[in-house]
Amino acid sequence: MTDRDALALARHARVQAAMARRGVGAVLLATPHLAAFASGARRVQVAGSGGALPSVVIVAGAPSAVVFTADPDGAPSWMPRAAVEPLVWDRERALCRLAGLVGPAPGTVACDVFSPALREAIGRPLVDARPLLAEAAAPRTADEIAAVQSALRAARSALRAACRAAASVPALVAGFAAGMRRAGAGFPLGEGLVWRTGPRFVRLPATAALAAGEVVALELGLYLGGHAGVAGDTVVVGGGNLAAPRRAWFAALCAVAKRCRAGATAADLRAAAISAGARQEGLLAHGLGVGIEPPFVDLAGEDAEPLRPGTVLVLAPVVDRFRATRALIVTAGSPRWLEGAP
Amino acid sequence: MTSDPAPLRAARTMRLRAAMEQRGHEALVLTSAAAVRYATGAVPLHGESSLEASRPFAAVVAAAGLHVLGVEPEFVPAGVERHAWPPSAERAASLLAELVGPVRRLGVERLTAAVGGALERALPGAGFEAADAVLLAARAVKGDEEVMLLREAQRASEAAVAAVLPAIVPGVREVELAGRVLAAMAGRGLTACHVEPIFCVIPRRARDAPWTFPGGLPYRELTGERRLAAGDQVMIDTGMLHAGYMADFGCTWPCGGEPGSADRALRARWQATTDAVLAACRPGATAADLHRAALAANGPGRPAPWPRPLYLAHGLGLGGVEPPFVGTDVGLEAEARIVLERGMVLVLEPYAWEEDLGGYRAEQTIVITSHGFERLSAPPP
Repeated sequence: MTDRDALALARHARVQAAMARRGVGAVLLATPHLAAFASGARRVQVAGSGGALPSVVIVAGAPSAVVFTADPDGAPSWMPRAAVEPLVWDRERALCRLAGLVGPAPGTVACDVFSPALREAIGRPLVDARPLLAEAAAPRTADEIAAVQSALRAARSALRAACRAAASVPALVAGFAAGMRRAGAGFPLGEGLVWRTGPRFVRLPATAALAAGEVVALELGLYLGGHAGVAGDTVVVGGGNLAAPRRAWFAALCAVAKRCRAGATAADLRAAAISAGARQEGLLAHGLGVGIEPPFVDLAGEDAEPLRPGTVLVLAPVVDRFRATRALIVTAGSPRWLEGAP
Repeated sequence: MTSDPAPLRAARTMRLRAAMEQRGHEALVLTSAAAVRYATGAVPLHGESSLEASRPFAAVVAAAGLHVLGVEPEFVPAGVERHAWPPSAERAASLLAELVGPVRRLGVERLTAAVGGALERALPGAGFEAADAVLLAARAVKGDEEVMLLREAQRASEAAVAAVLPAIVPGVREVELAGRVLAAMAGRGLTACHVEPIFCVIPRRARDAPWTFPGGLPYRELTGERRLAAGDQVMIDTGMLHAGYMADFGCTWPCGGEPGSADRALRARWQATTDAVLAACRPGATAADLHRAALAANGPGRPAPWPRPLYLAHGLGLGGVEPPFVGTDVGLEAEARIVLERGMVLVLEPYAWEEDLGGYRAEQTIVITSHGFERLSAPPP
């Protein structure tokens, strides 16, 4: 069994445990990253297929998920072959098969997407699967944390390569891709975020040129071994000194990090950030694992879910005109940094 | 301001509204980056699904106007009302309901269970249906400006892949080629991809294939850590976003650059299948006609010449893979109802495979014209 397959097995066990705690008999997943998280399979959904129809079904007590895929070799090695079915394009047949899989499961049925047609096909109400999956994301095993840490390291290294090429947004992205190649990462999380900093951050279009001396914040991400890494920083195009704003940002980062312990809530993190002078520009913090994960902590948010031990959090406070990211892991005591100090 | 040009937006919105009227949808709630851009011209951040979950966005197409939620003001055109994404699912649903208004039939794209459930409660009189059929009806046929953008996207992708071909040499890992093509694309201004770039060695024998569904041809399309050896048949499939439109490029390239006799034979078979399908491509032909043409060219007793459960052909536009599909499990009867029209853009991607010889797969992008078709992609290298 590969490391990646072993990590997927650990996640499957946590999903099953969360299902048992919540009395959920079956989970249906249509969102690609959630399907990958819970099943361990790579690319269970082809672009253009599925829509709101699930491609992964997990029945309580089953040794693995059932996946519908065009890439059976993406399934983990421990998954029984009978659990890997060809992707179904015929909507009626797909609904029928899903209903057949879920039918005998006792308890409630959870799904990550809103689908009246699916609800009708299985003849039972659907509850939201996302809280269950958020619960199953932590605590992570030491190997999972190491995998996330490798992805973070690769992203940070590729970001440094991108900053060296900062003449335009495409040049930044090309520099990041070149860094990805060296790290062995094959897929970016997205097209890359580049903001012109100022009283308000302005996201720059993919074709924008950058002027020497301009201060830009950037964040790019990648997948390495099935886990996501992200890295963000603020730089002066062509080189320049940002030591003072970086110090202010670092103080805010530490203030927020100090509150990151099991049982603290998003409200606690928001309060710490605001007291340290942070302002609203995107998320203050988010989880990280098999993609970007909850919690999504927004300075304007209202959620108050307590942090779970083992959650990987990426902190991204913005102070004055400076934004950068650093990741840590939440524990019962002080958090542990997963990246080196700035 | 970064958004699509006004005439392009106006033409797309008009087509979408016509499709809504035809299907009786009074409003749409759209959540994919492609559909939001198509309907409004706004440009959401392009990324995989977890990135979208962390930065949600949507568009509402209502009788009274167009609305965008969760997209920065610089990326929303004039005439489209912009809203921040509310801080909870309940509030997001409440705002969506307010923007949709009192409707009886509402088309929706994929919504989270929390937002969708709250929206259903907020609109008790509305029937919820998938928006796919309306979107397909509008998006399947492209205007001239859209075809021009698709052609540009294709040319840039072809140039980027051409720059990477000399790096397909023994010892290189598949995944390194994926990073290399992303860098080459970005160097040409293409910074968003719709699918993990595929650089995969095709199995030469059935026993070399990791896993094949019954009745399918041995095949791989998950880029991995494998190191290339001289003569490996490397299947390439990648596509990038240009001004909102996707390219889809595919070919097979021999590691080291010198095709052997097996490579040439397989390419000839791929070409024969492609030519047979192209000969059927004209307005009024159906997806079933293309399907049958490929089977006939392939000869009796052979598996269908494309990977199962994928397809012989798919549409292309703001999405890299979008309907109409040809060759899926929906079957010939359903495909007979899919009629080709002028302006439809198709990517044909047959696959030729033979035990001991290996495989060859490439892609040909075309647009249906008044009398037949026109190629948008160059012949594979």
